[in-house]
Amino acid sequence: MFSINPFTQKKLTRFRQIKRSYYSFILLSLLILLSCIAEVFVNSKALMVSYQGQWYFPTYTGVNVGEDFGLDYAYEVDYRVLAQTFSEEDQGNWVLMPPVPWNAFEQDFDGVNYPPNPPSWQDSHYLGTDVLGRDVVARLVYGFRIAIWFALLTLTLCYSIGVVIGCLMGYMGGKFDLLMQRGIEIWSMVPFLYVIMILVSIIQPSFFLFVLINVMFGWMGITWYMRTLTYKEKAREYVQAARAQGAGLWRIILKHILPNTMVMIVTLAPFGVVANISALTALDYLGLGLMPPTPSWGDLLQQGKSNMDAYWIGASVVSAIVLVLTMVTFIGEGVREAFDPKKYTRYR
Amino acid sequence: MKTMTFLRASLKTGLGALLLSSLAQAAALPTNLNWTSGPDAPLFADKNAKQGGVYNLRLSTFPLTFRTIGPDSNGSFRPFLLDGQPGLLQMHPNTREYLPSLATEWAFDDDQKTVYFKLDKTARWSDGADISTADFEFLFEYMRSDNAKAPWYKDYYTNSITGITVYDEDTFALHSADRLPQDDLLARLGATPRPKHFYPNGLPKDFVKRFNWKAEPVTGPYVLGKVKKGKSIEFVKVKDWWGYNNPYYQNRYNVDRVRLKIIRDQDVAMKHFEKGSIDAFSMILPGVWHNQGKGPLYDKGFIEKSWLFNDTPQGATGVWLNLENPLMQDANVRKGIAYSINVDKMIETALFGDYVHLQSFGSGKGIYDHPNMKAKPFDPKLAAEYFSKAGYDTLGRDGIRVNAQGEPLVLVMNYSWKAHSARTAVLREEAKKAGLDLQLNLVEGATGFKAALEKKHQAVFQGMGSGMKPAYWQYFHSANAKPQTNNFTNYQDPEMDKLIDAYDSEFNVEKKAELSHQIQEKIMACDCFIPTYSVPYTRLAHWRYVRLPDTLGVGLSTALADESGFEYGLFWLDDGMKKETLKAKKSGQSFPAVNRVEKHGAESL
Repeated sequence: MFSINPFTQKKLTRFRQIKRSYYSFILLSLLILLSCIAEVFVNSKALMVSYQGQWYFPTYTGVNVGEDFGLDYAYEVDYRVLAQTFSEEDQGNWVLMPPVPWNAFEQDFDGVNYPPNPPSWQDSHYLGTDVLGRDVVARLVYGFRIAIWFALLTLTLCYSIGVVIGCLMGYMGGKFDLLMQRGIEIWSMVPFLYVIMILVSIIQPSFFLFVLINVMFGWMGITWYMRTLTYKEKAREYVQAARAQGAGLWRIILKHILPNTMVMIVTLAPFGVVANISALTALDYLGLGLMPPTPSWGDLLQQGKSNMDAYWIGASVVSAIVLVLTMVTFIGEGVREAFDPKKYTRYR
Repeated sequence: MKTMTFLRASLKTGLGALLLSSLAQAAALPTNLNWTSGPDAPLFADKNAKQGGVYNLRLSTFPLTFRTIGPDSNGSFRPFLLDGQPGLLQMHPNTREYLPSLATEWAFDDDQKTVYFKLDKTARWSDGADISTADFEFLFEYMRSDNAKAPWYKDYYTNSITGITVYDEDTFALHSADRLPQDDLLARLGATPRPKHFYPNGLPKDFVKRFNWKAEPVTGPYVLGKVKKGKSIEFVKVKDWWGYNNPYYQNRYNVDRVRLKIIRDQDVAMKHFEKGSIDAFSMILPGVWHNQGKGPLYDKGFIEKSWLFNDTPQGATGVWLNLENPLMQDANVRKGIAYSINVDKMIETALFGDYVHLQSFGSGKGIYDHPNMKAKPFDPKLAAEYFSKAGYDTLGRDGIRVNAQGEPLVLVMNYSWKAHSARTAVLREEAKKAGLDLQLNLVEGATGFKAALEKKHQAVFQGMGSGMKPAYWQYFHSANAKPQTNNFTNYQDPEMDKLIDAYDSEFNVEKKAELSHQIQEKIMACDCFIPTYSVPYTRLAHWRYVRLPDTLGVGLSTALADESGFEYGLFWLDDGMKKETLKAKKSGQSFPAVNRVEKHGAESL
């Protein structure tokens, strides 16, 4: 849709020059991509099982019951136990487990120590277990996946709505602008966190419903920026020219004005991600977020606060939050600096 | 003029006649009554208890009112205002016999509906006024008043307790609507009076608002003192409390003041406790007891842990399946579910092994409990068999069973407390082994209970309280198979109705127990109630200067040191020990760690 023009090229080069932002961007993108296939790294299902000459890849296939591997039960195989059994039997069967052989829901309970248990290499709980005996690494990883996708999805929806409405307000002006302005003012006076809490406690939403609830109150912020920018652009000659040639409303907004106001969206987006992650974590912390037992950072944070002695819970989740939010903020800073028009002007 | 005097005179005589007639009626106390003052039961308070001291506790929210009736009054604060106050009788917390309290003597009428009471002449309200029959008469006016906005009480004091007959200052009779066995009759009629002199003109129209922050005088040892709204509440001991004339009240309610600090957050409250600004901390929840109730303060003996396995009746806690739901109508599905709920693992992991697997519909009710009823164990193989019989015979890609139409086997279970997430999460993971997708749906707090009353659930994970005897009518009678009742399973069965009606009207204890057993058998055969656990204990962490009796508590203790309301008041504060403890804390000295576990009645076993 938009070919990279030399200006944008310059901005990207500039972004690449800001090292900490660039590396944060690479690292975070990598993390997000990896989190999509987290099942390969953090999972109670084996990556690969070789049993009587046959190979199984349980990660993404249907469930294998114990009877498939000569065991006496008809529910899903415990691959960790299977691995041990095979190596003890020594009949050429083997199991390849992921680096963290736990999923985010199962509770490890050895009958002696009550969770939370401290980090242990022997049990492959590299960051220990939470108060329910679930692996902290697994909770963190899957919690991250949910949080970041929640943030990105919410952001995309919010910005889609906000940008369209903002542009329309700016471009059409007049009564539409006036009415929308007042409408948004009233809507944004609603204390959004409280409303979300009330809604959540009544309807107990799923992931997507939760995203929608957040979008309901999150789309207003960007409208103001887009409205002002569009007002400014509208008066420019190229818009006049497009109009003179008979371009319609949507064409002008999408093809002519939007590319020229993109800078606002790009610079604000990373901070939007930060805000959304924080909102989800805060709501989960208060117990008003996603349904338990969904893995969530807020829940871990709450556990960490209640169990100060179990330092590994609080420490891991706080580090994770700080790390991710810092990275996103670095990216945001880099983008802002790269897109800063002052950089290319002589009035510095 | 003449007519006026005549009128007045006739009015006077009329009034006199009225008075006379009511007196004449009042004088008709039956003469053949068999007055009793209860058995000669053993005392249960500790004779070594010391008097005095200020006792600090934590309250998680400031109460919404100081009224004991009307909107918002039935909260967690009411046990401090009302529930522990002496009524006509008290129950012996070990033998469960009725003992004198406000009434020194009582007698049963042959109609099995009426009990006569004689009041303790020394009984006084906390403001010094005499407690008389007038206060019991007023009780009815109070409870029935529309201004109190308490329809339940109005109904109860109209249709269950039907009225009072006054004989003199200290003698009266209360009437029950139904014929009841003697113990049940005393349980129903053992009322607590309300102070007539506090409401000289009855309950005003704006009672709910005007008396929202005015506490009534009480019959008990503690009266509301200084209140800082939103911050703290203090209770002060009544001077020369009348109750100490009664031997069963001696050596109880020992502290002079009880201070309740409002600390919302449990973790913050814990820090206050560890600093010593709170003296005792209830630790019934396993996570708190095992994970938070430890550390140097405990190892050095500054804070002691006391755990009493009491003898309180346990209500029905379990998974209630809604029989109205199409899936739940299949008996094989219900059986399968019963075999796929892994209660033992839940208790072992999420509850640190502290709770007890409930085997039937409630427990701790003596002969009314079924002696050899057993809950279905966790058995994924058997569960799978039953699910297969119900048509769910193939395993889907995700390990969940599906039927021929490709519908997965899903059970949505509501629960209403976030702290239960840990427990239900275990059940969910274990149910997968039977191919059951047990989906958890947290509907918090009061909303959750309301949702259960609406009967829109498929299954609900919930516990109910219990009286001394099992109650079945509210849970399993077809009359209640409709919204807004406690029949959470929507159970309907004419045979069960007959049994329950027979149970409710049976006077003979053995026969009643036999009926109770039959009902429990039917409940368990239906598999619509899957029992989970009971909590047959209470426990407490407390600074070492909060002293408890050697037995820790009594059979019916739900709290060891009255930490959630005035109960038995058996603990005391040792001032000398407090000084010693504070000194030791400063100097780094330590005491032996104390971790006491007692089982009530263990000596007699």
